[in-house]
Formats: sequence, C-alpha cells, structure tokens
Amino acid sequence: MMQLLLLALLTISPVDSYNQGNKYYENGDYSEAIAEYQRALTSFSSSHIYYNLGNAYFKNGQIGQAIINYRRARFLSPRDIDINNNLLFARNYRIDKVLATPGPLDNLIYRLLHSISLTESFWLCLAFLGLFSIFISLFILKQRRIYLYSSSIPALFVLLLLISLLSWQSEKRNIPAVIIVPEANAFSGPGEEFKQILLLHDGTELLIREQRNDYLLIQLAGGTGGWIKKDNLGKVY
Amino acid sequence: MVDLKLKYLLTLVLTILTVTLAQAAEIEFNASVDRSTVGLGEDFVLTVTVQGQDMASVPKPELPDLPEFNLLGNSSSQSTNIQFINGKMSKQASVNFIYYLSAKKLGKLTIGPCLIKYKDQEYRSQPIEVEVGKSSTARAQPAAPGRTSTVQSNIPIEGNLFLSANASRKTVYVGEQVTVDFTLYNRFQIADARIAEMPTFSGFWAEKVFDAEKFNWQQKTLDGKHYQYMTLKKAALFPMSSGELAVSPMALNIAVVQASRDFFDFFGSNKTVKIESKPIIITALSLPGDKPTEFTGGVGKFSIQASLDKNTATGNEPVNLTVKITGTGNIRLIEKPIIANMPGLKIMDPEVKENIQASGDIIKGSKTFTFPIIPQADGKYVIPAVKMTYFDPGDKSYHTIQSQPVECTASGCSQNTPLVEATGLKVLGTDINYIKPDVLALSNASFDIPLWAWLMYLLFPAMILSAFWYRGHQEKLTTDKGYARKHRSDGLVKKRLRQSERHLKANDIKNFYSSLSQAILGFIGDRYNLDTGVLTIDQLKMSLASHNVPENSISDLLALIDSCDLARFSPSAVPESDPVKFMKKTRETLSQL
Repeated sequence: MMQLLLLALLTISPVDSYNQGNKYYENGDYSEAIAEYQRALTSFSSSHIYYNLGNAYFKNGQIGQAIINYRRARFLSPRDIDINNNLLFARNYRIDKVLATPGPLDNLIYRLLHSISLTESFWLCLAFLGLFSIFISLFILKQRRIYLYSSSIPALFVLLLLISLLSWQSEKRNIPAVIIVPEANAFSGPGEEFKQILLLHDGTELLIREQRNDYLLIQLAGGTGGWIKKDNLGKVY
Repeated sequence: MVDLKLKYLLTLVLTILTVTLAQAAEIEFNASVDRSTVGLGEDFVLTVTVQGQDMASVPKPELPDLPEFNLLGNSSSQSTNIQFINGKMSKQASVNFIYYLSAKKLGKLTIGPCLIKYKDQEYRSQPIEVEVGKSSTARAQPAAPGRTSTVQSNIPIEGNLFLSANASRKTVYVGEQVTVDFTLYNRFQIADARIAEMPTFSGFWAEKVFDAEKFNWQQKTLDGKHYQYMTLKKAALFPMSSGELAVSPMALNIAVVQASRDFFDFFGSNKTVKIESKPIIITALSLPGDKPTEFTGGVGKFSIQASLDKNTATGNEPVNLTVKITGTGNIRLIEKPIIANMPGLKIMDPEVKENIQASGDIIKGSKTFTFPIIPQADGKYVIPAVKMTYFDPGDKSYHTIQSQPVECTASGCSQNTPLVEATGLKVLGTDINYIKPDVLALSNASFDIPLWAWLMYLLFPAMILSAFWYRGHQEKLTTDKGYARKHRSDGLVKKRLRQSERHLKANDIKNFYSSLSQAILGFIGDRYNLDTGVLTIDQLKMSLASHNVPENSISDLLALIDSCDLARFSPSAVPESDPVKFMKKTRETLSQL
C-alpha cells in the first residue's frame, strides 16, 4: 500500500504538477498552487514554474518569496517581458526602498550583460571559440592571412560572451538573498544579544557575506550591513 | 392793409404753384431770408433750397441782379433724409445754397426770383422783400449762417421744439436691420443742449451709424412751418429674439434763449426745457421654416471666400485658412463656419476679425475667420468648399453660398505625430502579469554549467596544438629525409611482413625468409636512416648502438638477421615448424624499436 502511494507520487511529472498548480492559481487557491509548483521544482527547474510560483507568492502576499522566484525565472530566461515586469512590480511593492539606486549606465550595462542567459552565453561562447580555433588552425596549416583576420570576429564575440558569462557567475557567487519574513532585525554581531542596527522588511534584497552558526552577515546595496538570523532570509540561487 | 393781404395771398398761390410744379418735376425750389427786417450794412442770409429725390446733378442757382445789396460770400450744404412712410421709402435730398448779403440802402428792398435749370426745366423762386432800417431789433443776435429767426418766448414749446424718434421699419425679421434715428426739430434759438437720457436698445444688437458731435442745423419746412433740424443719433438695430421689442425714448435738456423785453439786456435769459422722444415698438418676426444645418445666424446678403496663406507647408508649421464673409446685415452675429474634419489635418479654433462700418444707413463689412491648420502627415490635401447659409429678408428665403475648394501640400511632417489626438492612457489599476499557461512539456533548465561542458573548452587549445604539430610534421617530411623514412618505416614494414606471411601460408619457405630479411633490414634502414644494403653486421651493430637502441634489442635483431640469412641459403638447416614462431619473434623484436 505504502509502496503504491510512493509510486503514484513518483509518477506525477513536473509538468503535471505545473499544470495542476495553474488550475489552483486560476481558482485563487494560491497556497495550494505554491505547493504544486514547489513539487514540480523538486526534480526540475524551469523559468515557467519559477515565474508562476512567484506570481502565486505575490498573490499570497509574500513579496520576498515572489522576488526570489522571479529572479530565478529571470536567471533562466532573462529576456522574458512578463518576468521582468513582475519583478519590477514586486520590487515596487516593497516597504524598504532601495538605498542606492543604480544609475542609468549601470542599468544599461546590466541589461546588456544579462540579455542572454548563463546557459546561452556558455554555449554561444563555446561555439565562437570553436570557430575561432578553426580559423587559427587553418591559418597555421595554410599560412593564409585571411584566416587570421577572420578569426578576429569570433574572438570579439568570445570576449563579449565571456564577460556575460563571468557576470552571471559573479552574480551567483555574490550569494544574493531576499528577506522573506515581514520584519527582520539586523544585529551588529551574530546573536540577539548584540545591538540591533537595522530593521528590514519583506522583499529587501541583499548579499550574504559570511555565515556563523545561525547568523548570516548581510550587505545591502548601499554598503550597510548586519547579522541576520538564517531563517529570515531566502537565497536566490 | 388790403395791399398786404393781397400780397400774402399772392405768395400763397405762388408757393402752392411752385410746390405743385416741383412735385410734378420731383423738385422743390425755395428761397428765404433769415430775417425780413435788417439794419443798413448788416449782413443777413439768403438761403436757396432745392429739394428733390436726386440731388446729384443740381446746378447752382442763378441769383437775380442785386444792385441794392452787397454779396459778401456764399456756401452750400447738402443733406439727405430718408423717410419710411407706410413701409415705403422716400428719399428726400436737399441742397442749401447760402448767400450772405448786406443792404446798401434804406427802405423796402426786393430780392428778385432766383432761377434754376434742372432737367430742361426752369424753376423760379418767389421774390423776397426785405425791410432795411437804420437799426434792427435783431441786431443783438449775431447772424449765424443757417439760422432762422428765433421764435419769441411767448410762443409755446409744444410743436416748436421736439425730438422725433423714427424707425425705418416697424416689422422685421430677427437679425434684420432696422435703422432708428433721433432728430431734434427746433424753431427757437438754442444756447445749449444736453442729453438727459440715452435710448436703450435692449433685445437688439446695436451698431452706431451716426452720433452728432456738434450743432449742424439743417432747414426743413414741416406743415408750413420752417424748422431747423438736426439728427442727433442714428443706430442700426438687429433684433436678437422674436417678439415686440421696445426702443426706449431719448431725452434732452435744452436751454432756449428767450429774447428779452428789456432793451438793454442784449443777451437775454435762458429757459431750460426737457423734451423726450416717443418710444418705438418694433415687432421682430422669427425666421420662417426650418433652419438649414449650415445656418450660422446670418441675416442679410453675404458672399464667402476662402483662401490659404500658403500652398505648401513644411514641417509641422500651420497653414492659415482664411474664410471671409462679406456683405450687408448682421455680420457681427455670424458664427464661425463649420469646416469638416479631415484626416491628417488638425484644424484649430479660428481667430476672428471684424471690419464693420455704416455705409449710408446700411451696416456692411466683413468678418474674417482665420483657422490655423496643422498638417500631421505628408501629402496633398484639398480642403473642400466652406459652406454657409444665411437668410435673405428680401426674398424671405435661405441661401447657401460656398467658397472655392483650396488645396495645399504638406511635406516634412514628423511621422510620429499621431493622427488621433492622444488622450493619455487611463490607468485604472495595476497588477502583476498573469501566469504562464499550461504546457505539455517543459525543458529542464539549469543554474549551473556541468563540469563536462567546461571541459569542452579544452578541445580547442588541443585543436590548435595539433595543428601546430601537424604543420611541423609536414615540414620535416619534406626537408628531413631520415624523418621521412622513419615516418614511412611503419607502413613499409607492415606491408613486407604481410607479404612474408603470404609466403609462409604458401609454404614457400625460401621466399619467406628472404622477404622477412628484407623487411627487417628495410625497417632498420628507414628507422635510423641507414643504408642497410652496404652495411656489414658489425657496422650495423655500431650504428644501432649510436642511436641508443638497447643492447638486447640489437642482439635480437642481429640474431634474426642471422637466422634469416641461414635459412635463405641452407633451408634444410631450419626446422619445419620454426617459421611461424620465427615470424612472431620478428614482430615482437621490431615492435620494441
């Protein structure tokens, strides 16, 4: 009996869970929808599921969780208009306003670097590197300068894509996280006995610098930071 | 006394005759003096009046010979009086020829009849008698030109000083012009006149035609009495609504000079009287029938013109469409004509200019509507004829007039200007975008790049390195003979060994050893770039040793060569079963090199 149930659970594919979650969502049953989407994500990851999960969290009033899932969805398909729109929308719903707003140049660079996803830039970079290598090899073998000149074009693409690739990697390596509780206290040290220095609210985005026991040293966009209890945060990646 | 009566009678008859004659010829000819008793040397005025309908071509009258008078000077004045009697207009124009005379001698003098020739007819005025005395009672009053003798104070005001209000018509359509005038008739000498009350024209649109600014008396005979009169105010009125509309009376305060009975009081005293005109009631009729849609309120007679200030527009600069409505009637009340909206043209509200004046009693002029038009897309535009409908009270019907269509070409319009005026997006509320739809399949995406994928990057340096190696190898093959032989050695030895095996299978032992010997020596020669054909065993041994070939391999090789030579030259000395074993041994030895 127990085995049968387990088998039934296993046979539910992520796609089925996703579609079931959509049904719950359409009926306004957001917490059920969240559960279904999360079940789909246990063995699978797709921008569609993250996006819909973000929507369900948003409708459920959990801005922080919504932002986390929108960011995950955007990581996987950065050019999706819905994802970008809803991420912006959810960010506008936060209580804590961003302390240091990025300038227009920062935004432009970010958009340029993140217009293609990590996977896309990886494979494209590989393809251009292949092309580059072929041209260089042809030049070595045939000693014709045209091959050397031609190799500069894929070389340029390789450079650009490498920058994009590295920027995605660095975004992950920075360990971004989002506050997922209505209110979170930040202390001057890893423990409640330290002085409380910040009060952060649901949806505030920050970076994790260090971990000590149950406390995480976080840094906000402006540079200010503090120690926050681990359960108050959700890591993006 | 009898004589005098007879003279009066005669004058009367003559006057009647003249009047009858004048009426027949539509001309009235009169001569009068401002006073019949003058002092010697005192100047007085002889006024010769010609009245008729058409005074444009009246010649100057011929004065009789006046040997007893001095002619001091002359002047003339002209006036036109239009009267409406029972709705019929009668135009009465008069020309006054004024002569200033003075008497040369005392006594009763006679001014003979004046003569005028008009339309092949001769008219004569009656002779006038003037009594010339040494001094005159009227001496105190300086004779002003055009003044009749002052009526004495004992004469009542009534009928001798009055203000008449006249309307050109009593029944008009709404918007049709009525001219009202206020005329002061007087037989006194007036020292001062002030307006006590101005008439009000409530319910009318009023246009000033004439306002008197100074005394300008004219002469007129009404019911046998001679008056001086003056039009004080004339206005053109346009009823704004139908019904009975009243023009309130005008009132004047007039100071009348009263001739003094005191001989020494030269200037006399003034008596102020207030006179008032009668109110006028005008009936305004509403316009008949259904008003056409293009009716813009015009009543009268109009014409319309449309023009553009330029025919080409560049950029989004406006072109001005000028619609000019010219004519007579209530021009000021005409509303702007409707210009149909055209795609690609934005028509703005017009700037309105009026140029209205009274010509005679008729209000005429023009109203100009200037519409700025902004082209919003390139192209050629034809602005259709501008239509306007007005009501003509003359034939009691509506007339529609239209202008010529005009055209213009627009170029260089910025294309991003929307043709439809933007009203702004109305945001009623905001929400997140809806979830992604159901799917049949999802592709599994990953946040990480697997290690094997990263390793693929190593392929490419390897590829470049191999290209380098291959190039070096090719170069060596062409330049280094030993390298080329060595490179070929493997293939060659394999070929030779295969041949040896074929000999073995054919049980051709002699050839087997022969080919095997060739294979071994050829391989060594190729491998170490030696000419094996001419080398002795010892030389071979030394050469191999110099190429760092291990000792045991050298001895094995030499042993093999020995065995081969032995078998080749004395086949019987070799056991039958050996060749297969020998073959195997040869392969092993060669592979060690």
